[in-house]
Amino acid sequence: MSLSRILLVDDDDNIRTIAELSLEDDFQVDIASSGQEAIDIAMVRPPDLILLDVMMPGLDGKATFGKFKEIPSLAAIPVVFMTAKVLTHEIDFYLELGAAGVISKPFDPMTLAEEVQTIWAHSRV
Amino acid sequence: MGSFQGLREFVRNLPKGKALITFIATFIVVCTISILCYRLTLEVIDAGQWVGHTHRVLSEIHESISAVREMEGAQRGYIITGVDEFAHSYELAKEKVRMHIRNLKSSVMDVTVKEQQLPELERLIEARIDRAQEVLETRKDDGFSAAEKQIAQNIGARMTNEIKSTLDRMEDHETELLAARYEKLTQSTEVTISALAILGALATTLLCLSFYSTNLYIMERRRSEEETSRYAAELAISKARLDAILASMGDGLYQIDIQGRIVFINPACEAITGYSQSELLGRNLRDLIADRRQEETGSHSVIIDPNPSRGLFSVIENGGTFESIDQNFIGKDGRLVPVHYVSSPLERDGVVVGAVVTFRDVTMRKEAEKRVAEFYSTVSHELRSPLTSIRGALGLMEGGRAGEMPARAMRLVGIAKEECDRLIRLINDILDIRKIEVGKLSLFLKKGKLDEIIAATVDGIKPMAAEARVKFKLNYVDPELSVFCDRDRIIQVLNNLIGNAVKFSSEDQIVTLSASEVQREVEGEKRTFARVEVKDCGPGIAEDERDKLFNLFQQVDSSDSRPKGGTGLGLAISKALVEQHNGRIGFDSIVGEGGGSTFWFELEVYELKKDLKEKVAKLAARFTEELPERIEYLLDCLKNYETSCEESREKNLDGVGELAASKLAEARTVAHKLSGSAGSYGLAEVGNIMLSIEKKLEALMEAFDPRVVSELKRDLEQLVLVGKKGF
Repeated sequence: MSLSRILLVDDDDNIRTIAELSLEDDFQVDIASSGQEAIDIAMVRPPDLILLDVMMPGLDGKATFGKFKEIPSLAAIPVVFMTAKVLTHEIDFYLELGAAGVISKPFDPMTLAEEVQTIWAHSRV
Repeated sequence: MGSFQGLREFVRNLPKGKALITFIATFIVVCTISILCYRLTLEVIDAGQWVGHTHRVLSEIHESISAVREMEGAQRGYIITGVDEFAHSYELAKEKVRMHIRNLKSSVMDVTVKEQQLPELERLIEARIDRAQEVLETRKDDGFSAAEKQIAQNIGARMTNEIKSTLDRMEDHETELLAARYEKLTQSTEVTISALAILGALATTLLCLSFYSTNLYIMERRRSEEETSRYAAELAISKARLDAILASMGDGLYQIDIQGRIVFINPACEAITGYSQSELLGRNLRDLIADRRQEETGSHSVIIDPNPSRGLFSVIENGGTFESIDQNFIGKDGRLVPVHYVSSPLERDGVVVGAVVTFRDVTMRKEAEKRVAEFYSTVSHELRSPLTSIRGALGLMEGGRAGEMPARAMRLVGIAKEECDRLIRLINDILDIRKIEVGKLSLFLKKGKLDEIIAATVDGIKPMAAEARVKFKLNYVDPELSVFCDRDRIIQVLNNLIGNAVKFSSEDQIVTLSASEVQREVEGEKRTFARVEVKDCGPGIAEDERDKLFNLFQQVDSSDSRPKGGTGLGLAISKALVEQHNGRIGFDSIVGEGGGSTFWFELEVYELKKDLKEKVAKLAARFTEELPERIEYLLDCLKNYETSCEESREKNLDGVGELAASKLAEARTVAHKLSGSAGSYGLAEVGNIMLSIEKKLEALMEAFDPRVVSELKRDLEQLVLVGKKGF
């Protein structure tokens, strides 16, 4: 199975646009602007990987992650957090939480797709 | 004013060039000659005058001598005779002598004569007169003897001799002068005559030259006038022809100036737009181009173009020509006229001064196209529906659903089914060609991996190959080799090429497929293409068939005359599809058994994220544009927070108002997002400052600290500066 469908969750228009541009050549990208919207979309069209922003109003990244894990059909989908806080202990915290990986913001739009692909490959091992 | 005009006319008509130089030279020479002649003549006249003068002086000298003699004669007569008449004659002669001496004094110019000889002469004469007077007195008073005694003293005779010798000296001197002056006169005359002769000859030569060059000039001028009038006539003919063309041409024509104002139209333009010439001249053509156009890809949708005149006017700035087939001009009463127009820049002395727009009313053509499209749609539907039924029925019969059939009937059903398939293919091909021809075949371009595309095509065509007992050999294709393409259409192209290769291969022959990267120079730029090759071992393509191979309804005759079951459209469609992908298609072939043909096509290699950089740059530009607004927002939040803090302090309350706190949290989220996106847009400096702002806002959320607030303000100011400096 190859990585083909990604669900991108971020409340910021700019980040969504640039992340979508970076990914759309290589993957099918679904977009959600909030945690709840992400859950709704994933229920209809389960993605192969979720790219989740940490800091969001309402349901934030961590809470959304928890919700995903509670839904059996979505629990196995690897989640990659996107955050500006990239201290080692924070990365460890998210990984311990069960994330497949952490991508630091700002990300490089030229390499985002490869980064996601690499995390995906590791998560399959 | 009139004379000024006349002078101007004269100057204008003066000969030009060599003729003018000759004319001026002649004029100067003639003037010089005239001055020279005048001066020489003056010299001759002067010399002549001097000669005459000398003659006059000489004559005075002679007259003086004879007057002295006359005076002596009269004295002698009176002394001898004592007759008073002689005394009277003596008196007359004496006055005569004095008169001549006065004359001499006034006429003599020579200094020696004037200053030395003449005073001496005057003294001698006066002395002589005194002596004679004395002798005459003696004769009168004392008689002849007393007078004789005085005469015998010989004093008077000596005086007379002295006078004569003085006069002789003067005469000699004047004679010398005369000789010298004669010589000068002769010389001057000779020089004048020679000069006159030489200068006259020179003037004559120059006059001849001047005449010759003036004549030449006149002839040239006449010739150029003739040429000018001939050109004028030709120009008039050409203008008349142009007018006739413009008046009779069916296409409309606008000539516009650099601002877009209409400066000329032809009658067809009036007919097409419904406007009269007076209504159009001076109007801006921009106002006469409609903003709605028929979308090319969708047959009935209309799109609104915010700047419809952009293309037409681009030629004024960028040169070249611009052609449009899908725009509408606005006719009188707001009626839209669909036009096909070509806009070209109009230059004068290398400078663009406007543009010429020729246009054709394509209302009829659009309607015809619409009818043809409807016809195609109807035909395809009407043909395909029954064919689908026939194909289905035949399939069922072949599958035994209609009961057991004799073997012959089954064979006939098989033939019918094959032909039915062929007919369906033909209709599909015709519809494709139609779409390509009217430019309505849309490509859905995506990254396509060539190894997958080739594998998918081969999978589809395997049954056909198995039936023909042709084998495939698939060379290694780099799995990374991708092209930007419409996958289905490229599969269609490959299907055509592989299908042909299979059709023209004999049993057990091999069709080889390969794909590789090739470098090719396009418009001076080295670019990478993916080249896909389909090689068969068939009989090859005859030389005379090659040119028309990609034409519509072309089928190559095979050597074994075996019907190939194609529609004759496959290669034409493939060519159109590849070209629509901005690619190339072609073949190499060797005629003869086993020679084989290699059909290939090239598409530009898909470069990873080729456009992504441009897109990111555009987003970054937009982000930069919106940044001041964001900074303003952050400042606003900060002010709000500060005010709230002060109010709390005044009221001795703990913390800040709820609203201010939530605003601060909001500001932190905004700063967080901005720092993330700025970094991703490549605006690292903005990202870093935003990150620092975020951290400080976070600190403020914990506890109010005026230092942090002022630091925050500094950060925001710095951000404004960075924005002004440019990124």
